[in-house]
Amino acid sequence: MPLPTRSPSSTGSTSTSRNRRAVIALTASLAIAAAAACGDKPNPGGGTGSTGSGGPAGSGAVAPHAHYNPPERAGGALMRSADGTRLYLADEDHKSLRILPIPFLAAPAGGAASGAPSASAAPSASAPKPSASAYASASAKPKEPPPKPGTIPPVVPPPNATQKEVPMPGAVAQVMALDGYVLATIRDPGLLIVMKESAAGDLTEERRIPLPADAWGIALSPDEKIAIVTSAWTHKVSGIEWSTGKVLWTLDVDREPRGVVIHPDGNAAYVSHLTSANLTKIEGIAGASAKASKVVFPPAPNRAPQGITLEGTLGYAMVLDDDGNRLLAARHALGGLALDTWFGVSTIDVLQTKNDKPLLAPRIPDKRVKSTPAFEKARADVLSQFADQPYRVRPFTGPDLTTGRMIQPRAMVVAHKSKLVWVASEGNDMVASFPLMAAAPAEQNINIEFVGDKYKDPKIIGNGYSENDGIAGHCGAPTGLALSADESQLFVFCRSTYDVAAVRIAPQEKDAPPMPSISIARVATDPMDESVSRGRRLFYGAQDSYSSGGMGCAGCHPEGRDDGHVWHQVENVEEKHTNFLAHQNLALKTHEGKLGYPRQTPMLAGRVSASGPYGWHAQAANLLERLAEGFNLHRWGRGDADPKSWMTGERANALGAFLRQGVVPPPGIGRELSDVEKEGKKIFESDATQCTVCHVASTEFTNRAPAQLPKLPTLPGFEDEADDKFKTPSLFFVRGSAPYFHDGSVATLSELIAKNGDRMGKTSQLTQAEKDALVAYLETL
Amino acid sequence: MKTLSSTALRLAAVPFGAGVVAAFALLLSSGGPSAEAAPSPPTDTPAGSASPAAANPGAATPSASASASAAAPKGPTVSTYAWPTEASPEPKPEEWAKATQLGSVDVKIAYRDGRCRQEVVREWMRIRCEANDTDTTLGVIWGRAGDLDGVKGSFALALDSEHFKKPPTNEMEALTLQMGVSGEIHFQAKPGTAFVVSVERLGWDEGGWGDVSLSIQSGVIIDVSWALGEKGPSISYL
Repeated sequence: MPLPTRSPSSTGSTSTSRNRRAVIALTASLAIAAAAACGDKPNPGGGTGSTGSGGPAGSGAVAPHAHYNPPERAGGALMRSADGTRLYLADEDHKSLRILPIPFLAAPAGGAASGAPSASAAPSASAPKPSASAYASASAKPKEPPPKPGTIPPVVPPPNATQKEVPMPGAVAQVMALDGYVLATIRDPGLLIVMKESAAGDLTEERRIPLPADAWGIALSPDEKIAIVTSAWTHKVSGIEWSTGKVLWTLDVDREPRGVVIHPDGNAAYVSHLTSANLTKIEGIAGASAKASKVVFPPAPNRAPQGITLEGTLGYAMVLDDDGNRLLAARHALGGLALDTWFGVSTIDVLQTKNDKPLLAPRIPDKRVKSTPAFEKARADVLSQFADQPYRVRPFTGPDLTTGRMIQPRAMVVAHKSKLVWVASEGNDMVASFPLMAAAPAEQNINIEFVGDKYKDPKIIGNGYSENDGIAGHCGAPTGLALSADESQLFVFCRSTYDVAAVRIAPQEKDAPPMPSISIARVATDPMDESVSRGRRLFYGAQDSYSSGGMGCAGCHPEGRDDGHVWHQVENVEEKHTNFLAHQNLALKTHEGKLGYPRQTPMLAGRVSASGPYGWHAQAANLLERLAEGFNLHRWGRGDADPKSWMTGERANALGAFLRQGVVPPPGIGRELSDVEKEGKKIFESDATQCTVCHVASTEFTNRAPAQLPKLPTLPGFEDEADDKFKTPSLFFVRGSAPYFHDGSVATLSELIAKNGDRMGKTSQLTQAEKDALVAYLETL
Repeated sequence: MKTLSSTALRLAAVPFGAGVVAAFALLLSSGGPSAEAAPSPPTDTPAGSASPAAANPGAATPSASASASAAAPKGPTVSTYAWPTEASPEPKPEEWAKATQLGSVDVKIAYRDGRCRQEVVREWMRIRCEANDTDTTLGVIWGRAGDLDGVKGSFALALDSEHFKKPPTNEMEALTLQMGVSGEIHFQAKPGTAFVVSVERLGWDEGGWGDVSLSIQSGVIIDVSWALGEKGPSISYL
């Protein structure tokens, strides 16, 4: 039975304020069908919630079509169909799978629904790159009225843009297209959806395969029989025989597993993590006895301070080269060296899969392979006279370490013909290509395309430091990438605006109809109101110089969660003001090896509904004050955010609205408490332990008051902190927010309880079984 | 991406005084720590990048960051060369004289057009980079990352160049003679080889006020990698 498709309530209408604000979503040629929730329909393939198996087999095993190169066997938010005629878009916020025809952005004047692009309608290839709105206005009829001040300008799909929207039973994270089948991961409830694809592109659900909650990344084995799915929040990885629904294995791994690729040998898979640069390798994926091990894979060896192994975050995506000898991982290197980057640099690192070792050895400062006498003469003079002026000395002591072009790398795709890897840069609304076969690919961006564009919103006026200052009007937060079959076009899904951009990345054939270099269509309206929509763009974006110091909120709080990192909150670096630094070596003055106070990144999702106070010391009366404080903290040097100014207020209001309404909390346990957990609950609520004195259940398990507790030892590399009264943290989702305490000094809840004694409440009297029960209960919150 | 225009030293004027070093007036070109942090242009189109899909027949593995020479070499390329599987001694000069040419790659050296020539003797490779013009001089080959123990460099100095044969008339010209007109690395390519170096320009720039400054600018980055399991190295240039 074909899956129902959902149509917009008003195709092409601009009659509602939302439609005026957020673009005509779909055109009249959409396939119309009754919108019925997937969850309410029969499930022909079985998959009824049992663990370990998706239930009885549906139509039997699927004949493999092993024609994909290794990079294509990994899913993403956006993926091209096997025959090259469609794009599948995992639209998480709308809980739907969108099917977009290729070329859906070609714009014949009054042409057929999926006709060939028309030279007369599309801008000339030789013309200056049109803005998305310009392209839209040239191709779409009727024209949209000019947007009201403060509203988001429309990006109208061209007339032949069609899409089908298939409702999913939950937030859909990634999609994987095979020849005749489409697989999709669902976050909550954790599912792998198997859909059969007809020649016309209709999808028929074959089965739902229950998986640990927060199912996210997906990859296929070379024979396309085994799907491997990561479950982020529950830190599990599962191997599934998707054609039968049988879950072969599920392994517990480190926090936040996300990206997954499978080696061409069909035996091993690699998993990346949001909170670590290290990978998890899973061997024996085809059998029932798969085993996981850690692969140490430090980020950005070419940007590491001497003797320092950097930590990494944002491991959303990886790719393999065609032979599988190289694994490329885009992520963020905390503390990676660059100019004035308090947060480090984004990087692409290469792992040799033959030995699971990084391809590139670390940087050696001041390493001159060879120098000329003239250079040495000048260098000697500078070093002798200006040793205390780093900006004068720097050019003579090492190569230029420019600030990275990527900010918050999010998705990757390999262009085989050109041997390039394209990366979606979430923070600056950009896609960039890098050499696939390089030791340090990120040092050599080949092409950069800014798919995002800004609008002059009276409520979000930037400081004007650059023309890109502000927030995305369209194509904000690139999150998904797919290539056309001939690799001439790159398709980009932009998460914060729900646009899809088509970027021409190769010269056109001589006689081909001209195509614009970039064209953009909005595929959906923002499901939330305007304030939330504005906050969404601020949250992902890193370009608004008023609220961001070069990295967006999502850089440290991915999806509103945390990066698992302990930062240095520093006063007066270089006589500047409070900053967060990723590593003490980033600061030029290290205060005798000790720099700043330790601050683990707090989780935000599901924890910011209270009116206040906020901040580590409860110093901010409400969320808006805390956000304004953050605008000034999270940057190199002091920000301009005056908590009383309207510019700050509008941003804080928007971000606050998004954090409270737009950020989706992690999945709950989705079941009744076990006996052990119930026992732990009793212990937690007992007068003997006094947990609830501070962790008040009715207010997110916190009384929001600073507590004077026995002081924790000062950690190496950090300064002693005079104010040691810290606000009681919320325990919501505490199981997935390690490390613990403000200084991140405790790695697990078990360790925390074991070491607690009577520091927080009274737990020294508990037996080991009671402590275990208490931990079990905490992990359900 | 070359964004650096970090004029580190600025000479007040020519001619020079008692010595080159003493003559540095050391005026900042743009002042302060941000002098090196000039924002990069919004789009990045290095040489050859406009057509990333185009094959790069002269280069190693398709080096999308640099364009191939106009005429494709008739001989082997880095990707087609039969790389030995056994290690051999470092070639002698007479062997280098008969090296197999692996094509050349058009590059930018501090915004100036240049070229890197590749040649090989057995598994030993030599890459020599120079600007197409005769006035672009070089200062240093930085080892940026990787295993650099086996990477050796050399410069052909201006004083040995026909173009600079005129005797210097001041300290600036004298110093220029001590700069390179081409820079070269050579190394043994083997599975596991991976390093990144950059050949940097060192030269004189005339400012708007008639002063002359000594500047270092990022030149061409050479990225060499041979992952285990591959038949030969990949080399890319930016």
